[in-house]
Amino acid sequence: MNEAIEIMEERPVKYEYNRREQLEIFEREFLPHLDAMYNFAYRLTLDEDDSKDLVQDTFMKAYRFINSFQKGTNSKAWLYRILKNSFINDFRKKSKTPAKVDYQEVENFYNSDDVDEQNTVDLRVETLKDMIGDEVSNALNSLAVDFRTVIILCDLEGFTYEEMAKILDIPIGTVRSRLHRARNLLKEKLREYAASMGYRE
Amino acid sequence: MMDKKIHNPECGEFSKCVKILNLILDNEATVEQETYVHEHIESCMVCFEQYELEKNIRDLIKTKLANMPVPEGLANQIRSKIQIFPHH
Repeated sequence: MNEAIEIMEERPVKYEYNRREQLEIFEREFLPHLDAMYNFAYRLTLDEDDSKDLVQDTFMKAYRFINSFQKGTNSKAWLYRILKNSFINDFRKKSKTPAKVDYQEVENFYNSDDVDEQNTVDLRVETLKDMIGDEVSNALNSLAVDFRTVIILCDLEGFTYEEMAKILDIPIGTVRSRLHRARNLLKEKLREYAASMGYRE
Repeated sequence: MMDKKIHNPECGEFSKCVKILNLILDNEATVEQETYVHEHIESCMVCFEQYELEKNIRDLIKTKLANMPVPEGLANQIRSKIQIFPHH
């Protein structure tokens, strides 16, 4: 696939930045997201070396395609989109992340209108309060990467559904259904942890 | 099993409410939707508890996940690669 097209989104606008402007955009609008990007990469790959490579690749691509970035716009979402594409194209193939889920099946179900059935999981607020970071991250990391990703983008990074749709190249309806599914899976994992730790009432 | 479906016997609007309260917690709800849920949970315990649970799970994600420190020198490694990249 043509990388440029993939990164540039639907409007192939070209901005003509000179060298100084390019470096300035890079320094002021891209690099401040290094910390968030590294952590996003880590939560996708679950490996420090892979995260470092993924982040370097992402910033290099961002610089290479800087003329398709409009100064002053949402650089964070733009960078996340590049990182997520690099992850899928370059890392996922060789990584040991859990097998892909059959979304079609999952999403057909959740997009259909019988979603007025809710999964309820017997999990209590008091139980959650006792959980430590390791248990929370283990629960999150045990989800398939696509489910993990929507939770990270929404809850941790606070992206809107619309931004998530752009970052992930999926329709908003799919963002909603994937999130719904991800949250139910996460609840189930948290409940399992709670049970195994003897937290339950 | 995780896929047990429950129509909550204690609240006829449970499914509708859960759907909307998730939108509220994600800042994606309309004003009408917010009013509906806030009024509803004042008098409905199961939905109130569900709201609290969903809210607490989000807080858990936000507050308990440790941040990995960025490897030392990574920013400068990236900068030096950019410096030698030709203008384009």
